[in-house]
Amino acid sequence: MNNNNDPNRDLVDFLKQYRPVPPQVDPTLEERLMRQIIDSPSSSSIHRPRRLWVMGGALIAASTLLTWIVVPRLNLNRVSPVLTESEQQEIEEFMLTLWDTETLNSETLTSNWDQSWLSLANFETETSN
Amino acid sequence: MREVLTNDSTQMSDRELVLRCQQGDSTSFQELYQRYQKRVRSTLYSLCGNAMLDDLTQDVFLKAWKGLSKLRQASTFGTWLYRITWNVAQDQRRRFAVMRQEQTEEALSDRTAPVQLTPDLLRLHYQDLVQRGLKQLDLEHRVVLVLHDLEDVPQKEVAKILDIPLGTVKSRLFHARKALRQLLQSEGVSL
Repeated sequence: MNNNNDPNRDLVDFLKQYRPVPPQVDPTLEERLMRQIIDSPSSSSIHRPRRLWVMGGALIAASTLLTWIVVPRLNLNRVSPVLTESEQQEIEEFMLTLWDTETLNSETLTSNWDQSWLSLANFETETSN
Repeated sequence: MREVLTNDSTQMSDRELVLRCQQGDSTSFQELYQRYQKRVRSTLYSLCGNAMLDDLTQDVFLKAWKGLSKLRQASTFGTWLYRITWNVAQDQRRRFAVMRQEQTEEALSDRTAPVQLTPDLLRLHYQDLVQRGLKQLDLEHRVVLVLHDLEDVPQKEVAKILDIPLGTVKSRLFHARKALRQLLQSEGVSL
């Protein structure tokens, strides 16, 4: 902008020289402003958002620490995908028990369902008669 | 004691003053006001005219005081203050669009009065031309020209203040200058 080769130099100089000059400032303006500033909340409210930022930052840092450093050291993450023999047996027994229970339940359920179906059929037959 | 503090604050950088303000020191803010009042007022005058000029100036500094906690880089206070000035000017335009037009006409007619009384007629004529030239620009173009050409704010800073791309600043500056040059030339000013 201050380059002498600038083709707009003459225009800019002219504008600066004849720019609109604001009228005299009201001498009481500064005093009025400062009175309002002193009355308006300053330090306490000014620092509140900063505290929130600090708290938020601390929370994020803590959760990151927990995820990347603390959790890997816990036994939770040390579960081996390879099962021992006793663990395998335990799971098989559990599955068998579960299977038996489920079969038994489903049979009961089916028989109940058949009964209710039959009663419904009987009811319809009786109604048609 | 107050005098000592005031003397000290005049030696401080904007950054130091802003940091003190963020601790609630209103005396430091008074120093910032004294440093920037003329620039803010002059910019507002170029953008909005004489109407409510002192009220708008006060509004800018009150907003600055209340928003200082959001200013992360204390050293950018000047740029930030121009941004507030621009926001206040835009609000003024939105709220009083019609009223301002009337006030502008009033202000123009007011300015014709001293022309007859002041000996330097040519100077007043040129001032009137520049004033009219600025007013014929829309606010988006005017603010770029005022900040860059009259307030010496670098183009990159203007882009930051107005939150627009640098290319837009260059384009608006080009068109604003062109429009002003045309007006001045049509009024017989040779540049």
